[in-house]
Amino acid sequence: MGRFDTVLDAGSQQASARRLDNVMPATIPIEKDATKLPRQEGELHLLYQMLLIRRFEERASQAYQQQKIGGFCHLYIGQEAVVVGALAATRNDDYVITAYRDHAHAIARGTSLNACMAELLGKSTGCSRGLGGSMHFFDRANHMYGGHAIVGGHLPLATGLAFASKYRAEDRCTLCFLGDGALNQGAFHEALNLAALWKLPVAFICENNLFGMGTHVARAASVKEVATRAKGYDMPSMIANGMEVRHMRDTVYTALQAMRKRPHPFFIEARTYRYRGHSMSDPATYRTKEELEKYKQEDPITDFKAILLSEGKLDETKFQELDREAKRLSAEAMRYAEESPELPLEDLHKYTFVDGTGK
Amino acid sequence: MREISYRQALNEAMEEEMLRDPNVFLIGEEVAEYNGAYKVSQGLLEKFGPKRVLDTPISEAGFAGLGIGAAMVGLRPIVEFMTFSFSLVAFDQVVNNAPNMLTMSGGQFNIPIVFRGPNGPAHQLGATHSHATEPLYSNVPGLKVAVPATPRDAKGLLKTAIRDDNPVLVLESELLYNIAGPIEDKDVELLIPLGKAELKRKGVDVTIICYAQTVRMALAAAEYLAKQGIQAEVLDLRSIKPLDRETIMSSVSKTHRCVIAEQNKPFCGVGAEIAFQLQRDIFDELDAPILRVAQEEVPMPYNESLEAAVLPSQEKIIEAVYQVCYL
Amino acid sequence: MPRLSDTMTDGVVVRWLKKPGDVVNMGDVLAEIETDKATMEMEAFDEGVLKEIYVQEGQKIAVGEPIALISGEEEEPASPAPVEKIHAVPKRRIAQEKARIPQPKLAEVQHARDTADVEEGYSQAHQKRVATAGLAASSGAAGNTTGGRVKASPLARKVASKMNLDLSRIEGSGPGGRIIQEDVLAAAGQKTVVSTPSVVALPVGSGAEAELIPLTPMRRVIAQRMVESKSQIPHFYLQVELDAGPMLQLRSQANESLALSGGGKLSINDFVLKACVEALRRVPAVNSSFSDNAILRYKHVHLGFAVSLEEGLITPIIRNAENKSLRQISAEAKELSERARARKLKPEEYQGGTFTVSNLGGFGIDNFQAIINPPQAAILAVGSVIKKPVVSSPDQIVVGQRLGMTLCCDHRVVDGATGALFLQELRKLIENPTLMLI
Repeated sequence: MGRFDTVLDAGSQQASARRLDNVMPATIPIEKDATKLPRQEGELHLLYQMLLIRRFEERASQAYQQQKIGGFCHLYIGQEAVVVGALAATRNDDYVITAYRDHAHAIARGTSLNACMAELLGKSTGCSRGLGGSMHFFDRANHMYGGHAIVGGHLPLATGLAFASKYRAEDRCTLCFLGDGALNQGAFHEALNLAALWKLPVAFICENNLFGMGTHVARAASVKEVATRAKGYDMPSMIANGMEVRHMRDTVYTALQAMRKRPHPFFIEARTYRYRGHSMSDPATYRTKEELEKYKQEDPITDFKAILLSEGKLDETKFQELDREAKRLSAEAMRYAEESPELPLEDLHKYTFVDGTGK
Repeated sequence: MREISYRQALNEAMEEEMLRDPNVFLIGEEVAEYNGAYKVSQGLLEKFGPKRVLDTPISEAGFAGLGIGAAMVGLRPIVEFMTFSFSLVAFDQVVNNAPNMLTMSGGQFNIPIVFRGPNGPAHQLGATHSHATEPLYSNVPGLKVAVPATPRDAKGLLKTAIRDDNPVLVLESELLYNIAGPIEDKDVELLIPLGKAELKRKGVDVTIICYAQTVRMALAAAEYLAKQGIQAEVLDLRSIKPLDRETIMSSVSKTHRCVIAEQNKPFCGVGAEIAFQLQRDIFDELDAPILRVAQEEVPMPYNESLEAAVLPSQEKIIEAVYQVCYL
Repeated sequence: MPRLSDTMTDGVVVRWLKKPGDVVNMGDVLAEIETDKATMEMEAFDEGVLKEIYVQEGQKIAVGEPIALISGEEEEPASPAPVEKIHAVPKRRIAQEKARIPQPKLAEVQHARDTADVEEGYSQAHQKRVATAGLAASSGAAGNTTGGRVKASPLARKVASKMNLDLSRIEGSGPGGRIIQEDVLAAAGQKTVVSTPSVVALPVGSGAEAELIPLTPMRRVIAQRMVESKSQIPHFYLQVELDAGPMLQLRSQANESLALSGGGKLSINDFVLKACVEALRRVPAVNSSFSDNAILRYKHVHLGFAVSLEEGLITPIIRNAENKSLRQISAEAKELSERARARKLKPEEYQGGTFTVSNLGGFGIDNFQAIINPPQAAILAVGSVIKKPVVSSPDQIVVGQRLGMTLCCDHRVVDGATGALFLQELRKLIENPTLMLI
């Protein structure tokens, strides 16, 4: 048994008021040396990506209220450090798949804001040609495998992506993001069992924002610590501070390094918080304003900015420059999306089958 | 020409395609070491090894989804359901993930996957194990549904399905696994296109539309009817989706009467759709109402004689033919 | 008014949290809005100063309507001069651009097309209905109408319309009096005979006028089986002329006594049928079939006899006739003929015969040749009894009652001598009819 086959207890720690102060490495010590990161483009890039996501989603929120965006729209604001940190630890050819709160994952993976906004507006220039919408962002070129809107339904797909890596003897890993709501779906258990049974290189990253829609995780999952779920499958697990981008990055990097050496699944709980409601029509009355304010004090962008300022890697001018650029690109994306055409009616059946006959 | 069983035909199809394309692999419950619950995958583990022939846990949603994920990145899985009654616990995967992916991704991700296994009632398996799932899956845009009735069709359709770049369901039948039939020699590449029906018997007085299990019933009925001077045309759909409308319309335009023998429940079933299309497209050619012979609208009883009463049969088809021929 | 739920169409301003003149930052809560689902906070989309409030607390307004005015600030605080002017916000309203130029959405276009299809379909159907109604009205005849509506199958309607026939004059034979194709064709046949006989008489050639009479199932079966028989079975024919005198004499005696006892009359054909049964018993080689590997010689005589119908002919079967008396055969033949004419025979009553008798005596035919009914090996064609001069045994010419008949044989099964033997036996029986009563 190697060290990754040993599953340590995730700990019985209670999520305290400042729960994110108490983040502990559940089973695996985190690699401190992050200089080997494949996408080490300077940490300003992490900050910039978080800004891009936030400004983009603020625009999206506005556009939704102006009825430019239809259907559902689930915002990621508050959780930016999770995806930006995690994806900073990946290689470009790793497979990334997620659930429906997916705008951030596409942006962090490299999908242009233009393509993302056009998708929200249902335009043919969207990353899914306007056929997917907010919940179904796909970007093959950037190895973004969706955008899946049935809770837990994409976890078996993730095992399939990882299966393909193993089948082809490639060291590509799969990152499968899921919400805490998915922990109690049957597909979650089936996927984790298969992944562990067949030793597939997939990291299940549970973005625990405490609420599956409006139900607190404590009212939904039978375990106190969600990471203990991994124990049932002999799967190593870690807990990361999902409000801290460096911690996310280093945690995921540690997991991926191990997985590349020898294929094996990982379970990572990222403790985070979303500022907005579950979707645009959710007033989020299930939590107090005080709770929200408390988490806003740990804002991943503000905190990381402060860290970088204190380390002398950033000054206020540079920050404003990055933020303005993020706002400008978001506004530009909106203009682009609005000017983009819709898919022509004659293409309606084009994508039902590969041969394009629609029959 | 030689004769092989339906089971052997499916086995040959998988073997040939796995030899041809290293991306093809087989997963499912008991497909490897047990050689298949119905022995359809007999010998494949020995030939291709455990990398390409994989036993799964009893975890349909898990392994169906795994297959779809693998297909997203270019593998070509054959997923065996021990029976399609069990596919219902993987319904989200088969209905939401496989067929929607191409559209949802704006054409970026196609899913070249085959789901196969026995479908429809077998013999005294009761309500949970007797589902004829073809109307459920045919109702989903993005899925193709093949329903072979003979060894030749089973082989030719399964090979085509494996090569198809879209998700295809090959709905077999436990009751057909043992039947033998003529087929081309092994060195002949046998590919039967999806969406092409076949006239299994020519006739002029009435068209009996059938597929899978009902084909044999229809042929026996036609044989009996011929002795009474009624020449029934037996049209085997072979695929429900795509549906061979052209052949259906041309046959019924000739006979002016139609009986649809289907193995599923009638309500919103395959026959309902075909009858609708017939009246829409060739209303003026119909000299009698279209009749369906289908299952009774009840959960399948275990009791043998009650089960027989629920199922379509040769006798029920003959009776329906009499009715549409005003006899 | 922003859309704060996926289903909301209007909203109520519950409370304003900013007042005119307040500085507003992006993300600040401006007001509380009651939607159809909940009370939501409305945030500012941009920085600026709240200039004016259009909608007062408690007021309801449609989504997209302006509710307040925020004017942008030209200066970005704590910001050096930007390289390019990227954030100058002009005077604008919240929820501006409400009047987006309406583009046709996919769904609407599709709907429009559907509607067009439906209307086109409707107008065609409507025209047809008008046409049909006109037809019925012009006829004014009582026929298959229920409350003015003619029940007919779609095909029957089409065929009738092609032939320019009035459906309301046609009687339907289908369930509930539905007119089916066959009824239309039958009606067309009558019309041909009555009104335009010349059409039938015309020689068929290129450009010849002819009426198209689609095949009925029965006609098609006859055509198919006769072609099959005549092209596959090597026929040969043995013709005889028998003395029917004794038989006629016995028949009139028997019918006299039957009349007294209330029994049915015996026909000439009944005697012929009975004679055939006896002859087949004596020469079983004729009661046979040719099959690929063998000749099937039947143990029982299932005797068929042709009954002509308007649309064709049918051959009811007297089963196990070798065990039946002349009277039984007569009664059964009569009963079967009646049901055959009423189209009420069950399949087993006209399938599976081993020998057939076809009698055209009633039509004044002296003698004729028939086509074998496969898979049988022979058919007996029977003509009418004719009075003619006959040279009797002491070379005297007398008036004879002569019955002509031809045995048509399948040479694969029956040779000339075998057929002749059968006819010899038949002659014995017909000319000495009391043998049939034994």
